[in-house]
Amino acid sequence: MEGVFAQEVSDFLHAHAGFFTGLSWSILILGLIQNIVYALQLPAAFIELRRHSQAEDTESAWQLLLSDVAIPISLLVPAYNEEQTIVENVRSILSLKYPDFEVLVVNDGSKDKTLDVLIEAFSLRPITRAHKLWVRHQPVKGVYGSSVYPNLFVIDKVNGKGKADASNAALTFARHPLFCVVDADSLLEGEALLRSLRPFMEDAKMIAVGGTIRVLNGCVVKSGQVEDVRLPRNFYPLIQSLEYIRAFLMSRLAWSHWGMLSIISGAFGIFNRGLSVDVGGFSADTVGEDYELVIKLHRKMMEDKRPYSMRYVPEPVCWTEAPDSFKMLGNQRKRWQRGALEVFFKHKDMLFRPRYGKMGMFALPHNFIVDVLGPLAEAVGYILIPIFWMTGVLNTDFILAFMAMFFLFGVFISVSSLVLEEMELRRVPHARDLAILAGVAVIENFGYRQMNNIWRIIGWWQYLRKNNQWGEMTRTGFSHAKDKKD
Amino acid sequence: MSPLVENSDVVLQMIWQSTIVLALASVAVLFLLIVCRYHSEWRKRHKDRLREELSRYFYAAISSPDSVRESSLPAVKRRNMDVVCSIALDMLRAVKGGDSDRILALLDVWQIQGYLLQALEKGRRGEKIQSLTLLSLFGGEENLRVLLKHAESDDTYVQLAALRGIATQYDTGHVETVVEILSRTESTNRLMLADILRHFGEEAALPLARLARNAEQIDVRVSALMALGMIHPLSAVSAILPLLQDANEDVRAQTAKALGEMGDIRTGAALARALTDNSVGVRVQAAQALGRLRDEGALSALAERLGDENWWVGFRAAEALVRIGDKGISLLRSLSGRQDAVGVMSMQVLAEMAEA
Repeated sequence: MEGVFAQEVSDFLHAHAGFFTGLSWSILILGLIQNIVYALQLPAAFIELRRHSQAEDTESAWQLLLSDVAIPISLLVPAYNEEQTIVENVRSILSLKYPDFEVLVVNDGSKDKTLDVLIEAFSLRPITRAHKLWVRHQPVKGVYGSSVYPNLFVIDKVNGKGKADASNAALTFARHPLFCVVDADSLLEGEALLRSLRPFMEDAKMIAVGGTIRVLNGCVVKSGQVEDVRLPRNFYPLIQSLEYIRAFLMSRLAWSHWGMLSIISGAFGIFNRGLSVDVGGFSADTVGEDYELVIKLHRKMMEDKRPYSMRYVPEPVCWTEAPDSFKMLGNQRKRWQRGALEVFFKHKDMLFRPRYGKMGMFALPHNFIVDVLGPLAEAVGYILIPIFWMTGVLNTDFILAFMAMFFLFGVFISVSSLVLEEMELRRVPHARDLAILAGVAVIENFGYRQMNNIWRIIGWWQYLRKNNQWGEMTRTGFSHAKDKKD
Repeated sequence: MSPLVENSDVVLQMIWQSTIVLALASVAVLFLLIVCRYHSEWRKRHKDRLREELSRYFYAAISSPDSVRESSLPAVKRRNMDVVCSIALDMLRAVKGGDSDRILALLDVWQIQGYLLQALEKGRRGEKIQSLTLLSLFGGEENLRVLLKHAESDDTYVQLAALRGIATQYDTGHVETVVEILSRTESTNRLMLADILRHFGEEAALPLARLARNAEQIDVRVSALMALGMIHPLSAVSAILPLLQDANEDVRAQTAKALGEMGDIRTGAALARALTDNSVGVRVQAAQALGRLRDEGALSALAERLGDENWWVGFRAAEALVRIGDKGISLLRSLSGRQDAVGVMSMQVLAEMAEA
């Protein structure tokens, strides 16, 4: 009976061989295009890294710290139920090495004691702060100032169901020309602001700058600063360490080099406040609000025909707590996929429109291939191509080429980004850690990558179902090595 | 087998074979880098020990009443001179006067200047910047020539390090040369350049005003104006006043700011006119400048701007009225009863200032 069924399937596939080989070739070509872009990113990232390297230049940062000329910046810290980490996080932010900054913490209707612990720790009192409602957000219940830290303000507001609404409320009260949203579960390195502000000082047309995000899990944190950089011992954060190196050091550097940076991470990005307000601030109707802000800025500048620049700088680092369980990681990846689709479809009118320059002609079509078609094509390929090969519709060379594109090329890209990291930045603490990451670069392509693809497909499904849940993420606090849960 | 696939076998083979080669090559390169890293970790441990030893020696040497002698110096191989430079730079950032001279004397006995010149030729950006910083501290005509040569570097940060050395360690006699170099510079970090130019001090006021008027690059002009604002020499007021009408809005805004910092009350009328400039940035800077001047003659002009279409202009105008003093505050109070944007702005700023 089974033999008969197999024969029928084989006959069917052979009868429609033209269609199925066409489908297989489409999947392969899609993979090939993605991989060619990745391969081109490597030299572009290397050139960009060399051109703007601040890696060995401690003197310029030091001189800037001593000077009166640094551009003032507002640090926006949205907080929802962060009573465990918020005081330590704010202390860490207040100790940043930068001459002129203000910190605006937004208590986004927390159900725990986030506001109370802030009031107690920083001697807060209600104040008036002149403002205009620049962007839409939920009502503000009160503004607090600190009698100890004159540059610290806390905004207490009604919950707006997301980071975007809280960030918008902070924007309403921000006074400085630049702002940076800092996640309450992240730590900025002491010199991160000094280094990331440099592009704004070099180029008056600079409107946004992105920094690097690295995985905090495993590191030893003392007094709000990473004291000892270590790799996570838990598998999921470990694999994310490599993913972050690859995404930031290769992909974003390359897009920055080509002038088509379309993503600046919400965990560490610096933006021109005036322009961000002009485009309506962060959109509350998407979970990819950081991605969308960048696209909105591109759109605005190109529609107004104003020259502008955006850049990614690799040296300033924001350490973030990565999901350390299968469930939390899955939730994050589904949310990222949903966010990418929401933003893409919201701005699909920019696609292939010369009016939107390189963004419309190259960057967004690339995002279409990677975010929209990519997960679907890869999933279909994993299922169908082995069947076609087993039934003789495709030959061995085809399945080898497919495996090369969707498994082995990933090894090349991940290993190459480690090479780039080691040649220029050397932020991986030890040779042993580099070897471990090299092992991860191979392993991740066999199992993890496919799992990631499944999460992305679920993200696609959630997008179609208009599910806009943020997902669960528990915090453990910073004052210890992060892998205590291992 | 499909004929389509059969004809494409060569392409398919190329794809999988080249991918295997790329993957293997990248793994091989990374393997080499890992081996190098093992080796460099051993060297780093050695350098860390050396750094510890040398730091102790430096501290002992600067606190010792005896002068430094070559015979008492710990032996440092040329390849480890970077450690000496790095310690010296760290210490020089923290000490002044006699201690700083002793550190330089110590470096001189080590004959570090030869090493620094070599690092300038062959080193990477960070080493060049470090070398220029240290060379400038030694002073002397020979080092000045090196600094002036690197002041023409295409690398912005190498150029800035050389300029900083000239501005902070040499007298102002070279400002004309620096202005000449900068008038040709193609790109810069405008804020860091301003911070460097201010070190030339009041004597550089007129050359800087000339740079602000004539440099090719807007960034350089803006830097010169910022530096003038920080130096605030009254002698440059008349030279930069016409720049309030410059075609470039950054230049106009920075001129307004600089005039505010210079504090010459006679510029009040020109700044009050700048409150109606087309550019928001210029209007904001003009309002702040009038606040700094505490010019009571600008009360009505500032009050008019409270209802500016741009909120920041209104806010800075209100702040300026508060800074001007009793008359400004009274004016704000009288406006705070209005039911429009001017009233709201006046009320908010008065409340904020009262709590502050």
